[in-house]
Amino acid sequence: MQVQIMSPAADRVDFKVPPAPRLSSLEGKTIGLYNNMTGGADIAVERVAEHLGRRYPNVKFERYGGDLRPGRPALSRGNHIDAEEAARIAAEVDAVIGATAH
Amino acid sequence: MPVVGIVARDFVRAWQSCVEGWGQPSTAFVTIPHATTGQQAGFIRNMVDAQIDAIIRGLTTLPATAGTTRGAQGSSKTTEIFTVEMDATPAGLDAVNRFLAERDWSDGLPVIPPTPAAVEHMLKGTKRQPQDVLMVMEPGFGLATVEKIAINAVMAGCRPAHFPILLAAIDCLAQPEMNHRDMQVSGHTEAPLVLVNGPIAKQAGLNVGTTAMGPGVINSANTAIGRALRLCLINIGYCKAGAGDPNFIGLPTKFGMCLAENEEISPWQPYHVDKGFKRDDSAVTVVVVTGPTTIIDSGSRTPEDTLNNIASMMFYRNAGAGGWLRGWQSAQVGHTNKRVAYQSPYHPIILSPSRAVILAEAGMSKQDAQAWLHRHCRVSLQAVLGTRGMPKDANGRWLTHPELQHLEHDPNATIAALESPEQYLLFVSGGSTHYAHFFYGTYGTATRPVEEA
Repeated sequence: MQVQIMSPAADRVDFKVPPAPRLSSLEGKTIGLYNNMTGGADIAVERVAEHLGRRYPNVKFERYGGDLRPGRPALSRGNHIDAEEAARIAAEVDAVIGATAH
Repeated sequence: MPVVGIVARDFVRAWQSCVEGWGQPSTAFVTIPHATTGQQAGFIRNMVDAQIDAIIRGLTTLPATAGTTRGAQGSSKTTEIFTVEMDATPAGLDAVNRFLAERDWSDGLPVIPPTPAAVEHMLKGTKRQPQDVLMVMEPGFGLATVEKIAINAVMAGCRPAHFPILLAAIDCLAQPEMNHRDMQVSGHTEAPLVLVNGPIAKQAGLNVGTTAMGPGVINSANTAIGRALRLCLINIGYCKAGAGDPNFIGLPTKFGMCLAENEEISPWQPYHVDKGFKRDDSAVTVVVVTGPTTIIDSGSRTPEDTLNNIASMMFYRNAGAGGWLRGWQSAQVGHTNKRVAYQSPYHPIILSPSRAVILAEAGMSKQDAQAWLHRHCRVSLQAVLGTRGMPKDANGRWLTHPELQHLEHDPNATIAALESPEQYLLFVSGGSTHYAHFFYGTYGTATRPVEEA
């Protein structure tokens, strides 16, 4: 017996972003460290910064996510960044390393 | 700009699912053996140490596969129809299930074959058009058309009388304040709890009495509707186990939960009336929860005993207690990442009618009970601050609830566990005896009307 069945899988919104160009080197670059304030993510990105700082003495870091410095509220109020915050990060750094505790 | 994610091994498929949904499959990541959550600092550092070279490569080298996009999942206007051979042999009987399982289009349990005729029959349960889109369901950004929902409803064992409830549940998920994205992709065990009010419950055959959340033929409608919603989350939202759905352990609640209020026996007005509906309206509420825990209230002799017993469940520190101090949570919606603030969590407390009666007989309305819980369920301010601190402005002033900042260093200060009394979502159902279920609310909630055919 043949049975016809309909696909339960939905069509998906077609959304594509071109791959980000990679950096030629990290030397002299500013790297964003993003953690979403879940457990241990801050430790992970700070460890990356320690290593990169030793390998590339001129590299600088900006911290996002668990940053509680007064006056930098936008990225410290939730687990996720929104489009406005992402634009701000893009304007401030050359690349981002992220950890979400997972 | 280049980004590298640090991803625990068991989240790799979740990462790949996420970046695919965002159209950025070449986003670099490195893998560590365990999630950092709950690990000691030295252990986390050791895991990261092994990945430094890979992190640098991720920032400086574009993988050869960059630019590859997903294949056959683009938008099409016609639902694919497949032909499956079945017969009376064990393998033949299982042919449809196997076909669906091979494509990861199932919850793992046997389904009713979604034949065109069965789907057409299901669509008689609504006036909506098959190609109407109720929402874009994340993390896969799938288009939740009425037809696709009907297909999944057939698979779950729903009948047309159940379909309006399922559609209303998806209408709830479509509300930004539901934060369905986080419900879908969180490593926590979030699941949608569907609560039904009004005449539709009886019309659909929902059991509101003994065993209402359990197995059994009398609970067929409850089970099928809850399961249908899960199948939609899997097949429309692409929340696949281990990929879009990265729950660490999972819970059987994720197979589906649908419960109607026992309005005939409850001494209180139904929940949907609290939300502004008329008693004769039908409405569906979805609330995102983990748990439940059963509250055994056999020793209570007074309303205070019962409320104290319920309140004893509220002090699990990581269940959102005091989180309101930092402002409302925010959901993000769609590819624009628009942020929507919403109040959370709502803790559903499913009261056996008997537990509502002991309160009502003492003259307590539902709102009185909620106010009591709000007044008595408190959390240490230091415990709240200690986990994440407070965001401050340039002058060091708390950005949220600055009126409480004077308590910042008071070791004895407490604040309400939940911001408002209504967040103790009291819902009366099940057989009338000395039990209650307590769910930890996690993300959002919404209530929508049921549109009957």
